[in-house]
Amino acid sequence: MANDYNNEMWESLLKATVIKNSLDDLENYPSEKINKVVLPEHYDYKMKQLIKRLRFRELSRTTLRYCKKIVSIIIFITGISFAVLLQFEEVRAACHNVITSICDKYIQFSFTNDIAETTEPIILNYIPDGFRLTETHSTKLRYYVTYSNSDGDIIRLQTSSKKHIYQIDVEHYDLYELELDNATGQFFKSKDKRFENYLYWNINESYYILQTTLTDENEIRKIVENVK
Amino acid sequence: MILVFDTHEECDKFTKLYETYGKTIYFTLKRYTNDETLIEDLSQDIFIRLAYHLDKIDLNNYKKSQNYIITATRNYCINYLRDKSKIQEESFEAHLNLSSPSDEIVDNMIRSEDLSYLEKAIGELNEIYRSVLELRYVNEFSNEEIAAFLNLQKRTVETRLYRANLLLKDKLRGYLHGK
Repeated sequence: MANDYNNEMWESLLKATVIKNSLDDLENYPSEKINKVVLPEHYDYKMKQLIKRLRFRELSRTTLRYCKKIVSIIIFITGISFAVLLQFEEVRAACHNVITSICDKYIQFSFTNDIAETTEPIILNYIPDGFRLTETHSTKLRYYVTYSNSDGDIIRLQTSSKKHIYQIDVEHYDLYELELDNATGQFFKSKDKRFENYLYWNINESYYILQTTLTDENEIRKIVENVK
Repeated sequence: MILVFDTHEECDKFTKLYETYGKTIYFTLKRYTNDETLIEDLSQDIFIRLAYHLDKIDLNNYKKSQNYIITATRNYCINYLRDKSKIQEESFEAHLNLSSPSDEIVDNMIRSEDLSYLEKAIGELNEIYRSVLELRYVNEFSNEEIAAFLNLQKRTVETRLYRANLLLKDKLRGYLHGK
């Protein structure tokens, strides 16, 4: 107990002496000298910038505090509403669709090249008499046009710029080259009336296929040489 | 360190602090260094640190608050310059003479009502010990606040306070026996 008393007394005396010492030291800081001090311009500017910065932070902190409260309330209400809406099947289905579409983005890869939406159309400047246009079809990959007559004969011309492989059963065909104006075609002449004749040729970046029930080679050549 | 005030009053008080004591702080720092860039940097640091203790500064009591600010400024500056020059803390144990019990010192001071020896002993203390004493008793900082103010570990502050007390008692013992 005596020790505690001594410690407290020592503490008090020490505190009083330290304070007295520091107050005595104030004599080295006379008011007249301090008032005469001219703060450098840059120093004053820098301190005022510090004060301005801290004032701004105080304002933004107050605003942030209110915003946080508002956002918390909104999130709370949204959460409760969402939980209630999940009771409905439509909402659950919509959520499922959204999740699926998001997941698809990560597990699916789609590539679209920059080819034209449709293949350029071809024009037959020569069609034998009796034939009329019955069908045209255009996709990104190919274009074809079909003419037919009342006897059931057909002339179908197809074009594409994409590589394709066609397989034809040559058992019913004779295969030979047919010279055209600006190309050499491969002519599959049918040995059976049930099968059409085929003529394949390519010009520049496109290939052409003529499929027809016509048998006259000259007629076929005329059609082909008038294709634009 | 991000400083944000809680109220407009604190903000205004901080502004008034600079307007009233800006020159005092500059004058104090000028006593220790002539490097204007360093003075600017130290001033900013000191103001920011003082802003955390605005509640302890009574702007209505000029002398008390001036003492508070000068003590804080001086000790921060001394600590910074000491760190910069990387002065090693001198060995402590060699200075102690523990032959007499310490309560004799306190009794003697109470009986004589004379604190002059204690004042002299404090004046002779190494500045690192005097700093922590002043920040403790003049600025009323806690050990954690002293540590934050001087960028020290709390343990270091406690050790320096303990050693300061021992050194003072040792000096006083020396004066007593010299008497």
